[in-house]
Amino acid sequence: MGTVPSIGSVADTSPAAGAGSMPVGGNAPRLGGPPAAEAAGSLPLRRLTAREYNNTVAQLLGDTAAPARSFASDPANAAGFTTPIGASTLDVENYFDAADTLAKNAVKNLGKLLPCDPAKAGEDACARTFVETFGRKAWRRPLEAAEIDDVLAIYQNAHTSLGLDYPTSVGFALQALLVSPKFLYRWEVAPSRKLAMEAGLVRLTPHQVASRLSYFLTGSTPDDMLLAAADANQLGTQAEVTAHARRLLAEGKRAGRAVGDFFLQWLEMTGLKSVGAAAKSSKVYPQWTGAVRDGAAAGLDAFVNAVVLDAQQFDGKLSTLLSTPAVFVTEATAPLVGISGVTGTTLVRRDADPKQRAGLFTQVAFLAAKGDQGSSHPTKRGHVIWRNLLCGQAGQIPADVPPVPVPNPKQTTRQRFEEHDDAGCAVCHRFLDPLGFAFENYDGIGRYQTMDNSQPVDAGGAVTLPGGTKIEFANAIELMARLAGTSDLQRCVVQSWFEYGLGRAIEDGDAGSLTAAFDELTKNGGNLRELLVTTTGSKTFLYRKPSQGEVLP
Amino acid sequence: MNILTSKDSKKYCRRMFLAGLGLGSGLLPILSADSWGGCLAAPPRRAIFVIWTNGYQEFVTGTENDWRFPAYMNDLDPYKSDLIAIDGVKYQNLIDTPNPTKDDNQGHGATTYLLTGKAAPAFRPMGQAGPSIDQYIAQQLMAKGLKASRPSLYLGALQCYSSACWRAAGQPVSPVNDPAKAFADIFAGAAPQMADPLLGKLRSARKSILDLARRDLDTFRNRVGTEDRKMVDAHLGSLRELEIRMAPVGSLGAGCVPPKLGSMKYPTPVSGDNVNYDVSYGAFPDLVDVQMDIIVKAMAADVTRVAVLQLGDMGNNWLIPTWLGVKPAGITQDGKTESGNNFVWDLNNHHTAAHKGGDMKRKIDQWFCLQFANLVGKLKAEQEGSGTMLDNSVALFINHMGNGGAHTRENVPWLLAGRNGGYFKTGRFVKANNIVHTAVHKEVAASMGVDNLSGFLAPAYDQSLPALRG
Repeated sequence: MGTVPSIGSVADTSPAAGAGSMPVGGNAPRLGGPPAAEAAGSLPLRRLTAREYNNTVAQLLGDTAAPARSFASDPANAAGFTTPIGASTLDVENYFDAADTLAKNAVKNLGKLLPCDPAKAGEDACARTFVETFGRKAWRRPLEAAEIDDVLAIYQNAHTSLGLDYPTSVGFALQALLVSPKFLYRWEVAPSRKLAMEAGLVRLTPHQVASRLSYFLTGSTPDDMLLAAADANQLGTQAEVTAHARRLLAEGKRAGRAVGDFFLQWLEMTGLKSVGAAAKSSKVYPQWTGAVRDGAAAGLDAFVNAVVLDAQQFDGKLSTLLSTPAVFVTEATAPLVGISGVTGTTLVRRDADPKQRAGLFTQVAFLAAKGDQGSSHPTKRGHVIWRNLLCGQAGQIPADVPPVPVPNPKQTTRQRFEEHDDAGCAVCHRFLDPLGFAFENYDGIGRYQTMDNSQPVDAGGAVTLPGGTKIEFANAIELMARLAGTSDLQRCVVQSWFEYGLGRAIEDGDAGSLTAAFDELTKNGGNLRELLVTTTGSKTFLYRKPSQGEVLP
Repeated sequence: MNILTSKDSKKYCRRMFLAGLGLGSGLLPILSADSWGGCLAAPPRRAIFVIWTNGYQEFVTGTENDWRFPAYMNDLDPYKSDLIAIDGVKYQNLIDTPNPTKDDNQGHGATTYLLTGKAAPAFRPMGQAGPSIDQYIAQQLMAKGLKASRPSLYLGALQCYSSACWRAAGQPVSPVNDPAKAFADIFAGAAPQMADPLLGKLRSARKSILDLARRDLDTFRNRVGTEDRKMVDAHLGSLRELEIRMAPVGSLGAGCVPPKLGSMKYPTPVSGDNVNYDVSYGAFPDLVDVQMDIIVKAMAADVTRVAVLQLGDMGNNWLIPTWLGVKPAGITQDGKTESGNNFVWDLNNHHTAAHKGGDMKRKIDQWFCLQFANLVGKLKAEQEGSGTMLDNSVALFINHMGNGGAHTRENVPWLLAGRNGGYFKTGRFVKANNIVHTAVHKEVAASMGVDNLSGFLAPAYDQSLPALRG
């Protein structure tokens, strides 16, 4: 997020000169000139992330043990979203161990695993049918005859040559399918398949489209309907693709998982669940318990899910995301947002005081995760808003940042942090801190406050947005209301969701698709559900430019 | 302190607490204490690289033959005659790696440069400076016909480190952090009487799966572009290494017997809010100790000749040395009351201590120096011919930085232990005058009989340090 700023609509082409030398500041457009509507970006070879692996094996086998929990964690790509790099020995070993366990568990109930009865169909014939049918789901495309033979040979070697029992031998075939690069990499091109070239671009195969769509919107492998559509070559047009996108979004549950993941990654809150006891001072915030933390995390997930996906409750608009007083609370979290009468650990929707709560960034989870141990943390909060919500550039944090001054009972948090305004720190903090000060009405665990260290809270300020617009605000609620209508924010949201869906930072070739999506978002009043649909139907989602060094047919 | 280290240490590690280590049973292997050295008729030469981080407070003072450790390094005193104190080397390959974000290639970013001999075209993605010297030496020895069962070992403890070891540019090797896994990888099936016909069949079936995965990757490789091909090559290299690990060690040298897998009761920590920091971080010393045993025992039987033990990377933000009485954040420590300071800053971790300097840092560094002393002691305890294993080994103690508080990449002190067949002349303090660190690697490679460093070393860093030799 934020490394390749700007979507480069025609009106937005200010001179890029000097952008490279500025460590911080404006949304320097890199993509000059009219966007090429017929261009597309690259499609780097993608290994499944740990999250995708878990979701996928759960969908394929019904095994929810989530074996990838013990895999090495995936690093972030240049856009800030998790993307695996080259597989290390440990990764490969983990794949073998996970496949071994998955297979052993799966063959315990052979009747459920196999699509046929080996007693009737014959052991070998049934094994072949299994490889063919399960292989198609696991590799997200039909297997070619030679591929079926290759996997079946694993079974045959185990069963016939080594004399291992039938379930064990079928298990080895299953393992072979799961440690294959054809399962682990989102490639989905059969060995003998020729690439379809159109005007210098590679058109993704229907199965690649199914996979890309499914992993984007559900974080998992294509379902039966998507695979069937791909088999029947019914994912060739934009309309066919977006129809499936709408279907998946309407279905809700699996899409909700992906929406929740997007927000956690986008707002750099993947560590939310570990904002545990040690992260908050027990003296300052004795209220911060495990139940509060878990409730806040679940509440955030429910909030973004409902606002983006639940058409019964919300209109799905970006402005609503940033303004609704709705909160999803439990008995533990309700008091933090001034709501009483909630009991139990089940989330319920309530409306908080609209003068105190407005949308995503006034959720307890965000405020606490981006709060300090014993106080708020304006810089952390401002950094996320500037970098991730506005795609503003900020210089890397220098090597030797002195610690924030120790709390002083005579100072408000704002006064303490305003020391940034002196010295060299101001070069970045003049962008970051005003945005963070807007949230001074919320303490380190997200409770509303009007006094800080016995002095009235000052949450007002002004900031120049990456695109150059200056806005003023009295508090976070005003800030969000003003930001919601700016193209800075809208463009950044489009860019971020594209980067999440494409699995990489945006490139020149994406410009036309991004501009079209931005225009569409403007036209439909900022509908986020529609943005997801638009993304899946965009040129850069359905096509790719050839890779450097790639041998084309 | 910077975002890179605090952020990455979280992002790269999912197995922070013991619960995720695969030691759910609460059992930690310990190796039988019996010395089994002397089983080899003709001991080979070996190299061990121990990596730690956050720099030194003070280092050795004196002259070549009359020198002393600062007080916090005194645990190394008994081994002074086995050591060379080197002051110091510089990480020129890190310095020369272009990087738009200046914090990355400060000393904390040295992880992927300590063992490599080239600058990278860019700091990220990491690992473009590979191969690392451990991998390169192992590759060269194998090319010369060595039939080691495990060409190299790369072990860590507790934390998922960023990789210091690279088979080639962009091809990471990961440390094995779980001693039970390391032990099984190396010693399971080593004794002939343990051979089980069923195990052999299962292994054969797994081998067929691995072969198929490799064939598929080869086919794949021909279709993708240059960048993607690097991903495929990394995967292929990892499969090759896994194949080596899957093969049983087979017969050890005549007279060598595999060590015994013991067990010791270990409390199972809980996760979430009830994380017991004392238990979780407190496992670190035991894990480190067992990993050192595994390296020494594997080398004593000539299962491997090159090993890396990683005890830290970046800033070690994750490491709160609870076993030294250091308490995590939120708990009063040294009379210091809670503050609203940055979370990481307040954790009382190794990194924080480096920036604060002083006795807390020395206390932690003392423990790390003690680990190196213990390793030297273990090598010296194994009889080999008329001497000990230390006579036929070299071990380097490599820090990311000279001064941790200032993140310096120059004048980094290194320690070298062992004569490796008489190549090194120990017992001395060598002033290396900020020579490139690759000069030491070149000497170590030479002591291993590897003189062709063309695949490892950029010509600009091709220097020697004859002062280390006998």
